[in-house]
Amino acid sequence: MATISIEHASKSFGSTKVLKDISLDVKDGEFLVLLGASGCGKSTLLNIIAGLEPMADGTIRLDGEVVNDVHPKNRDIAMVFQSYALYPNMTVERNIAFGLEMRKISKAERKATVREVASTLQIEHLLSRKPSQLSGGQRQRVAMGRALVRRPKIFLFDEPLSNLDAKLRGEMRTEIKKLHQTLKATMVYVTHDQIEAMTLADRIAIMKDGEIQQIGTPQEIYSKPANMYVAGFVGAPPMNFVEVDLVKREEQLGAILPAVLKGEPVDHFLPLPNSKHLEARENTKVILGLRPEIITDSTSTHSSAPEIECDVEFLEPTGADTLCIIRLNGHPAKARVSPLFACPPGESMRFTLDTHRACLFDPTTEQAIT
Amino acid sequence: MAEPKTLPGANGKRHLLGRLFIWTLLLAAAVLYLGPIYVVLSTSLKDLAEIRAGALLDLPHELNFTAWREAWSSACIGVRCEGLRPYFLNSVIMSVPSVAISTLIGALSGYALSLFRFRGANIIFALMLFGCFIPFQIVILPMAQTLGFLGVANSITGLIVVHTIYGISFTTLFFRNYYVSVPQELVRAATMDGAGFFRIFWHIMLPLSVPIIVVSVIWQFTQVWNEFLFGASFTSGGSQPVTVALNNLINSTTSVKQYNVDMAAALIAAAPTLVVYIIAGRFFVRGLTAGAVKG
Repeated sequence: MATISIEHASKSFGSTKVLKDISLDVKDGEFLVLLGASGCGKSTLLNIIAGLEPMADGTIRLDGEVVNDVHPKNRDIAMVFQSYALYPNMTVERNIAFGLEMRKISKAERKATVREVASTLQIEHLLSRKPSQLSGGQRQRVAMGRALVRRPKIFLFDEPLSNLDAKLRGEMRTEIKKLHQTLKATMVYVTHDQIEAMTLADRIAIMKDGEIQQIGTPQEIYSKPANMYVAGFVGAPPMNFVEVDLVKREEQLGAILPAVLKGEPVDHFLPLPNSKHLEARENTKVILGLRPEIITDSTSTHSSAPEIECDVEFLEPTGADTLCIIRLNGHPAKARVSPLFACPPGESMRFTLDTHRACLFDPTTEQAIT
Repeated sequence: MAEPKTLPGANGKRHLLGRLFIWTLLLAAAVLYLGPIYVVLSTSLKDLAEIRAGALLDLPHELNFTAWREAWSSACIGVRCEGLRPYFLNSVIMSVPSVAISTLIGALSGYALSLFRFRGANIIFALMLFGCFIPFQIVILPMAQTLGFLGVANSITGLIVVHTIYGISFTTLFFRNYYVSVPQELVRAATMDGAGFFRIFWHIMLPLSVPIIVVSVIWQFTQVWNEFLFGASFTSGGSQPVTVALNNLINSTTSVKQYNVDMAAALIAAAPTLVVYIIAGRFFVRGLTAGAVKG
């Protein structure tokens, strides 16, 4: 059992507020990812959970017990650092065993536990080496081993994969996920990589300027972003934002989407499904958020969704899909189509817009309209 | 890596001229530095008759160590005719603890100042740096009073105290600047592992510090061993360090100036710093490469 509960945490370095009144609950056995650009305060929040940095204000509870003044070593938390922070003068074995050594666990028991962890991580053959004799991926494993060996109730990860190359990162991601499933421990993971966040998390907390923008499952974050920052941060390529007019035509509320066909501007009327919420906003401007996969070629979809025809300016083939750059309301937007149906650049093609999956945002507050 | 020899124009005439210039300069510098050492060494191996008969730069006829023996154990300093030996031992007894204690304190305070950035750490560091710029002469009088107050005036212990205190500024500077480049995450990781201030220092920081320990030891040993003013001011008679004894030996010769004994005594007094440099210097290079751990 290990839950984390943070209430109204705030912290500043000098005059800059790094955390502004953060409240957050992590359930037992949950994998929570703190996602955000650098400088958003996510690492500071992690350090506060670890006890490595004090907070100016607020309460932190582990398993319901207030631990504001509990020393990091007594919180039963292990942490994996971005630079791995292996002790350069010690062998891998001693690196892993150091935490146990400090906790006065007998030599024989230490040795047995280290062997066990090493075999889980497949680093048994490295035990007698020094960190300088290891590759990046091996160091990463040792750093994980150092955290695992103490069997803590909470694991903290501070961008643990950011120093690895793309292939190793993918492998380690899978391992961490596997580890979480076998250990069923509570884990908090800091990253700026949205793929890591999406693949690993039970829930993601997106942070910006010391504030949590949204907490939710990866699917919620992706399909129902709370605001334009979240919508733009998650997803690659990012969501297209188009400013549109909301109008009513023949009792149907919809958006006027200006596009370009054969060099001439044309306006498309897009009927919007969730009309009830939007009645009040009739004849105002809203921001329409369309993920690239929402705009797709009409040929491969058989739906009643609205279609538009417009010019394709460029193509960006990515292999599995081809991205068509089209122009919506004067700004380039990306549409994800099957490579089989992508038209050559400069010509025009028909796209289907799945308006059920479109997002709408208020142009001034940038919050989602729900 | 570009091999310098294969670079275009690397073997031209201008290159050769440049080389010749550099070699000439180096040779001149070497002669300038080694000349006096040659004279001292060769004179110490001659007897007085040979010194009087021959020229300054002549090689000794034979390897005659009589003067060395005399300087070590029987030359007269004042009224005592025991050579430099007792004073040499004084210097050893004085240097070893001074070097060890000041290096250890420097390591501890450098570690505290760089990796535990407490409030005011930088101000304290700046104040400690002042110590590096205080000339010996300024502190002689207050130091003499302090030593008297502590009851260690006119003793080797007193000199140990003085040299330790004086050395802390330098050793702190060395260690602090070395530890600044040690990643903070290492301390954080050890904290999470349950190690406290001293355990982190002992188990993690000190083993990483071999190169800077060697630097500190070489520096401190050279300073303490070669120091004359404090030794001359705060001790007398039997507790004087070798530098003061050397001065007295050369000044207290009664009848004939025994150049060979003086030279041998000078070499004996200078030998330890040289030995420390040769031995520790090797570890220094080794320590540097061992400390080059990436990440």
